Amino acid sequence: MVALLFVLLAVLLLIGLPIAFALGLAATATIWLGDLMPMLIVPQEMIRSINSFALLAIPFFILAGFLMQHGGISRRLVDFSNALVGSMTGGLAMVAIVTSLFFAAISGSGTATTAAIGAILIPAMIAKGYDANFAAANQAAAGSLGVIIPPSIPLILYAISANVSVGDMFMAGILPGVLVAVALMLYAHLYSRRRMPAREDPRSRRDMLVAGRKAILAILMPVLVLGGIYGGVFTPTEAAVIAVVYSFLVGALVYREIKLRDIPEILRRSAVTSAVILGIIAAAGLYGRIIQTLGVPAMVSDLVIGSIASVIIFIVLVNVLLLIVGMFIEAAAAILIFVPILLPIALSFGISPIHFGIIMVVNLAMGMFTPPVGLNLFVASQISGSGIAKLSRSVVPFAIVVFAVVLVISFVPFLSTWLPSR
Amino acid sequence: MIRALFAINRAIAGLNWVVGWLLAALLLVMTVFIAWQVFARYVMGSPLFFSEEIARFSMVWMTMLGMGYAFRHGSLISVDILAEFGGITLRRLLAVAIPLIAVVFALVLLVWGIDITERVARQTAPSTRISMGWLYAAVPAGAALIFVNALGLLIDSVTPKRA
Repeated sequence: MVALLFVLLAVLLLIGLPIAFALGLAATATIWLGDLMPMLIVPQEMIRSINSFALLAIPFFILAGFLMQHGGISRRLVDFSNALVGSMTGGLAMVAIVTSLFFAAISGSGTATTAAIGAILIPAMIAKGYDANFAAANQAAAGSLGVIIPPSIPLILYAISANVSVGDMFMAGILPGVLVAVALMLYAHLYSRRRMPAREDPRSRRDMLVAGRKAILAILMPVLVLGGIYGGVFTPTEAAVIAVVYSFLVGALVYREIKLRDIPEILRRSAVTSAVILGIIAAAGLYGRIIQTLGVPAMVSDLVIGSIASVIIFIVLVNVLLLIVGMFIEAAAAILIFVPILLPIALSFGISPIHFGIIMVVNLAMGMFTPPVGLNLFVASQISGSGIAKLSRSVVPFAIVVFAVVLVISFVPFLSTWLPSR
Repeated sequence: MIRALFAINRAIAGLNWVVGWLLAALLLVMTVFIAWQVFARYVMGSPLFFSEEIARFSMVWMTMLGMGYAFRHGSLISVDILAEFGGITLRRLLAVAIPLIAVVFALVLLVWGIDITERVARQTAPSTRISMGWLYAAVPAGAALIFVNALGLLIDSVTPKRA
């Protein structure tokens, strides 16, 4: 039955059935053929998985991201980042990364970050003489910051399924996210030194102050949201709805770029984007229930603890496993399926649940810009017009850079656990 | 025959148009009620007792209907290796096979979704006192939309693209 559950899922995914349907159907077939429980469990578990107050944060952070994008906030962040790093060699590529870092602190999703920032900076980079494939790969990789830097949908899901505080996970994501951003910028800089003879225009300190003042309302928001959650003032769901109200007020009243007639379309697109993720969560909840019923976590932990003696080998294996999983399964589904299996083993090796969550999320974030299921890659290729096959090659060096950072994050728990412990 | 198929697809497009705005309305309801809840708790000092339940139920409906809606528009997340690297024949085959497999899942959700909705209809939700049937009815409703939209995708795959 366990083999059926996993093989059927693999086959259904491979032929291109939507992930939510593949998870649901593989679980349903296993229940039916194994006569595990009454079929009523199928609708019941799907509803139970999403009928949760904590998950309301997901559609709210998605809506806040869309409002920010339409409200002119992403453009102001681009200007600010441009004033900060735009004058260095490879400046524009670094601007894309820094802006993604800021935008990630507002948006909960990597795809939204890629779309919002890429729409402005990929064309700008191509116009400046960058290779289109490099520009798109750079943005796809930078977009993965969206799920590492809080607020982040995968971090919320991990906190729920590992039963740790969302506030702690959010704090834990900050330093690793900054580290990923610095590593990406270093690569972009070195690449541009070799390939980009054109110099960028220098910026004065005054430019920085002006751009900073214009972007201040956008930069303040993460402080409000994260401070509110971590200070115990708001629950993450309440903070998310405050982010919606804040971004609406800033976009509509201060910057005056959101018109009332745009609102229904923004709501509709946010609702569909949310439903796509929540649908996967509903089906993954059902699938996870079957994994539990079949006793898979105990089987795996017996196998692992019996054959692996050292923490180091375990961490390396987890990284390799998550890297492969992340390439094929969407992050939300991967978290809900693998946390119950892997976390107990990690705890028995003495790894902190917060540190383990960051290892998982950063690995899965990599999967967002590596083929074949890299959503950031699809979004970036749509913007740049470069084909997925060529883009997949350009993205390889970025993936190697991020994987190196993943190893550092894996073996230096301090990076993840220092901020939450304060 | 082709004309009849186009007529069916136009009707399906109309249904999806309605569902699209319903999804927007559900998200608006969730936002307004939770924003109101925050305002009531922190500013008015008197917490609301019904807002959370309404928002959660709206989210469940948004998810189940949104899945069917996104299926029609090809925006559900999937692994596209075979369609990307396979030949034209394989791509045509998949365009028929995927909606047919989705129909199987839709039927499972429809049959047992109706079953569970009837069973819980007498229970009431703790704070709003509405029937729990309203929560579970989202499953058969979403399943019906997946079913209809699978039909739409099948019609797409057998009819020529309109100019």
